Amino acid sequence: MKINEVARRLLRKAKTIDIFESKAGEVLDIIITALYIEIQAKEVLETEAATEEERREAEQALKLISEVKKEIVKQYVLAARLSHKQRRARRFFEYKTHRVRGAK
Amino acid sequence: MDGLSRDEIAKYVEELAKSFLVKDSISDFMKIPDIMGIYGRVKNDPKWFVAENVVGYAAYNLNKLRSVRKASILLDRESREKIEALYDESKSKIVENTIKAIKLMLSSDANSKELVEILGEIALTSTKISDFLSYEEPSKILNMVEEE
Repeated sequence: MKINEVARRLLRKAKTIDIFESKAGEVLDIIITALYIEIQAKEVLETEAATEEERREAEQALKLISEVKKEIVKQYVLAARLSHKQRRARRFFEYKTHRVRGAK
Repeated sequence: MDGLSRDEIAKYVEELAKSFLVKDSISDFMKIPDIMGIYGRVKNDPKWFVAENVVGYAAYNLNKLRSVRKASILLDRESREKIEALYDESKSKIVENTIKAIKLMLSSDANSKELVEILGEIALTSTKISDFLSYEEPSKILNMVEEE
């Protein structure tokens, strides 16, 4: 399979993955494969004998991998925000319960 | 774990991998990511945890494909051959790269680019399996096997 095609599939996965629900290996698979494709694409661009088409595919793969990285970071930030919200919600619940108990 | 030398660890892992290749004992292969995790904890070295998760998830996908392969009698000949080919190809690629990764991580001159390339091969193979298992026919078989 061509590297730009692999990168496109990775981006699709990165956009649909649920960091809370997924196994650590599933997320790492996306990250490690993205790094691997990035290395391969850069190697193609450094090869003088590479054809125009190979270069075009490599450039496209690099753009897609950059999107994959952004997507994964976005997912982690969202996950962190959600857990922060959850922590705040729990504190609020504890505060309310404490007040109710205190009132008794 | 700390009592074993690097060569002894590499030899033990190779024996486990060989047992998987020859006897198709996936439980032996699944011990490898556990060893990676323990070694990582002993040495407090994060690259072992990354490898543990990548190899562990590859073993998990391979095990699912193995179950589908066992039940592939329910499918037509073409699909059976496709599953068989994917299983054999993925199995040898994952085992070969797992041994390479362990040897590289045990060596003192571990190069992170080289390690990413080796783990990337494993991750790519693992992704191919999970993509294949999400197709309609294999996923139906997988659901049937898991329900049992």
